[in-house]
Amino acid sequence: MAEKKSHLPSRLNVLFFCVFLLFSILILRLGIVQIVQGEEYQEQLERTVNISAPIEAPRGIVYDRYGHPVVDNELVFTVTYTNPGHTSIAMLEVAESLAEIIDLDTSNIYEQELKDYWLMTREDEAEELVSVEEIQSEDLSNEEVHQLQLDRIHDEDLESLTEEELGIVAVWRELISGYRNLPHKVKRGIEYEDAAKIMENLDNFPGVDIIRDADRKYVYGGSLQSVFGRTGTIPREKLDYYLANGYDRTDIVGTSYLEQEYEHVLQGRDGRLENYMDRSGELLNHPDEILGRRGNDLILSVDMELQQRVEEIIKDEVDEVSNSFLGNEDAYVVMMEPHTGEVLSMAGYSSEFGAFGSAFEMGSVVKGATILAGLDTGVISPGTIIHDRPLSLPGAHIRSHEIMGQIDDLTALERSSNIYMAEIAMRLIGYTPSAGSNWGNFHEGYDTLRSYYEQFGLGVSTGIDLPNEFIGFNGGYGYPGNLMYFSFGQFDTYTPLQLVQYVSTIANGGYRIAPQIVTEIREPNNDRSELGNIISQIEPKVLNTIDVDDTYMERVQEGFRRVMNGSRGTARAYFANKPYEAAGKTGTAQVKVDGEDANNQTLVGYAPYDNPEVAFSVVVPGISRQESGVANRIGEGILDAYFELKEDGRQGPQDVGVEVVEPEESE
Amino acid sequence: MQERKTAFQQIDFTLLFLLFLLMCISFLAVYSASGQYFPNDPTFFLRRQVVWYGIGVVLMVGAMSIDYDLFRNFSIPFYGLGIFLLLLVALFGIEQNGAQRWLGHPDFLLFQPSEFVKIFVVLALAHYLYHISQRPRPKTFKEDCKLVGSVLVIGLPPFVLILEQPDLGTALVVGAVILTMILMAGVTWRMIGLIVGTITVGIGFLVWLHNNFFEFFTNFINTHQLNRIYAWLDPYNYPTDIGYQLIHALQGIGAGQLYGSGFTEGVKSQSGAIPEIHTDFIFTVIAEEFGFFGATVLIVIYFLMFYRMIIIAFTCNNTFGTYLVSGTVGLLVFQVFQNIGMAVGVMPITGLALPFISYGGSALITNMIAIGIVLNVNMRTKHYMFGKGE
Repeated sequence: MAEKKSHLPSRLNVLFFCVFLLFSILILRLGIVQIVQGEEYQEQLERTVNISAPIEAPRGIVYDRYGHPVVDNELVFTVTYTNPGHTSIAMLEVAESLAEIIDLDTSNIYEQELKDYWLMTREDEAEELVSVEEIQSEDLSNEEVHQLQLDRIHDEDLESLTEEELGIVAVWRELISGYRNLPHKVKRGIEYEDAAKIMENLDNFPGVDIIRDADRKYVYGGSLQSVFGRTGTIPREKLDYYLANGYDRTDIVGTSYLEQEYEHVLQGRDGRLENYMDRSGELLNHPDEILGRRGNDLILSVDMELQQRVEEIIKDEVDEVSNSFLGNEDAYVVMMEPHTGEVLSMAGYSSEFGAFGSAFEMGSVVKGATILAGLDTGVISPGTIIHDRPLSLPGAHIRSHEIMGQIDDLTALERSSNIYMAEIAMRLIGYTPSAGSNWGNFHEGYDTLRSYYEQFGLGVSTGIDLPNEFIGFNGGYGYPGNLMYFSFGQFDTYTPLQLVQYVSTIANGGYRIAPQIVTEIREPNNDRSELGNIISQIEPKVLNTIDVDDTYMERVQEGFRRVMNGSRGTARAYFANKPYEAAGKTGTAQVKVDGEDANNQTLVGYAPYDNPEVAFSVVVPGISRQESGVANRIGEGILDAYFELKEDGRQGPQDVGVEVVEPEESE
Repeated sequence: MQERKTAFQQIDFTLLFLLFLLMCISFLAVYSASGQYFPNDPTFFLRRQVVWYGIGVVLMVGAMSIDYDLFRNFSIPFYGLGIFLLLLVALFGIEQNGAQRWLGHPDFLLFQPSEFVKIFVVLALAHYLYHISQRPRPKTFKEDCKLVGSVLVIGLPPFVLILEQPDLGTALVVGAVILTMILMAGVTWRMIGLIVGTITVGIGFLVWLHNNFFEFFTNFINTHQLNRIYAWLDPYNYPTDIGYQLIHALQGIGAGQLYGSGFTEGVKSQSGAIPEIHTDFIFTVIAEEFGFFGATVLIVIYFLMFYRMIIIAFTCNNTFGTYLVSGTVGLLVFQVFQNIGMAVGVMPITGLALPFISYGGSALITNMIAIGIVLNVNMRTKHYMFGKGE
């Protein structure tokens, strides 16, 4: 037995020796790399970090609620310039050759830049500006001479610059504005032919390169443009903020609206382009690309198919009566799910911006809130009868559009009585017409009504996830008589978005829900056929609940139902014979446009009455008093469209031929 | 008079403790290396590694629970199964990253038979050598040739099948096992010298062919593998991905210097510049962030581990056990040397994991089973107080 395995111990010793030898090699080599050459590698590492340039990662894609991409990225060619320490004269030469191929906006060139250019290109004339004698007698330094020359350039001299020269200046100022050793984007999105021309002659353009770059593509043209917002270079005043958050100076960021609001979501993680050096410090000509990661995607609440239909309806109706507008033709629509606040559509004739960025006197649409204020404060109760007749009060001569006689609260809504509202306002401050000009503490009336209006979102921020929302104009306390007008919507101004929040609050029984444009944030998915994993879902946000007796809210809802279905409802002609049962309120505010009489036509509503799934507001501002029903027709059209899409199945939004919108500088 | 401890009492707790240390280092390194991939979820890979370790421990205990003497009964069926699986891979395997190594469904369960085949080869060769050692063998050159030939007949089929996938790293591990087993088989030193000589001459011949008859040479080595060699020899002037991987790794490791840059503070390791840093190149993280000091501690832990294993092989009085343990030593030593060696540039780059440290399931599980076998051998070795009475 012992003989058989006699060789094993010696072989195990050899094995152990081999292990020892191999491990010794490792430790020896590790010592060389880390201790002997460690400092050198450390230096290399620091140097490579210094010469790395960012590769911008594409921004996240924005989809509508059914997954249609609405803001996408497209590949464009961008001219970059990397300044390796050229003088501005050398850069001028580059600019001259580059300006032959690319055009830049010349409208906002500073005078200083023109003067600099003039001095560089007209040396002889420049020398004449400051004579040799003057230099000697005053003992001027070079800087002082240069400054004097600048001061003495005449406006006529600058005006002599040709268009081509202006083009050169426009390119040159871009070249000198870059940071040293960092590629600066001179122009994004140049034509393929131009890119090819530059690529073929790169030797003539020292420091210039063409990179493949991603630019925003708006799949449905100008639709929702002011909701999406713009991207652009980091605004100077926000540079510190972005740098502190790990951005590069050259990064493209969202500069307005959704792009700005969701910048942290949409921004991708930049890749890097790193150049490596060999031991002698020479640059290797194969830089390493570390790919970035696309930003996260946004899913919008907006239904693009409905949005397109709504835009079409607005356009048709407004064009029909385009001569009746006293100012610019305009009309706004906002459609929203009353239980979740998801905005289904937000549209305007010229731009949807006004839907959350402009405010108007809205007229009788606010009467629901006035009735509720009356019921809740106890100055009226359900069924209270008030005599509708023309009223002449100090500073207020008011009447309804027709004399209605004895009416209750429901009829007041159905037929839109101004007197009923004025009576509530008077009762709130304990005033009777017999008191004459003794209005008492009428400020309390404004405060009470506003406190109710604000609970519906009128005159306060709606909480929408967009920056720069306008909250309307608060007229303060005004004259005592104005309180009457205030009670039927002709004093403070509100936005169409506030109106839709107001009517949603009535539709859902008293919950003021923040409108939301974005419903989900998802991981980017390279396979475009499906969406990426959900990162977060944005829950409906209840801003406040209106704590009143249920029967009061139901009273207002019933009044609204009668407006559209009752025998004398002001909107029955448009909605009474629909397969769906709608509820809502019409409005007409009498306003002045450029000193002339005009109306703001408004409509709010929701449907179906029993189980509201869509709420909407329509505003047609500044239209002739002779014209009627435009807002109602738009309201009818969009509600029909909503239910048609729901019943008929969906075909998806119409392709608009992928019109690529040139990004403009946004404020 | 004799005293015997129970098998449980004979568990080598030193070896287990060293394994525990490696596990701790693995968790730290995987966390640090993989955090950059998922900024939202930095413990993604760590959590999975913990699960893999859990599975590995269960299988290790499994490998310890059956008396290893019984393994002889399984060695032939296992070997056959291994060859069968490798053939399946060759015929129906799933291709990823240009290599056909995996079985299963791409979305479901992927495993690499080549990982487990390594163990089966150790078992088969240990069994065969044990079988040979049962009868006296004349120490003639002819007998040696027969012995080496038989070992090659067992070892070469899996070697070739794995090499063809292609998986050079794992194939070389099998090669290392074969060489270790030939060393342990008891052939004469002359024979061993001959084998070492043949390999040396063979490599020299390939280099000569490369320099003089390049066309002909490419019949043996494809350009992909050749590029790896070029990149290894001169990474700075050979700009392929592999050359850069090595440059980055060297920069990271070198910059670690004596004490390292600190946990998760490695400039290179955290930059995302080194592909596979949580798997094949995990040594870079340890060396950059914990420096020469930390890397040496890791290497010493490995060394102590192999020292313990060789002691176990020494004290084992069952030849089969000795062969099993020494085969396992060859299996693990080569992986450690090759992996660390490629990171510091003494070996060309091949896709091998650093045993017990790299993130990854199949390799970890295989290595845990291997440790289980070694512990098994030690548990069931009869240690007599006063030597063995005849």
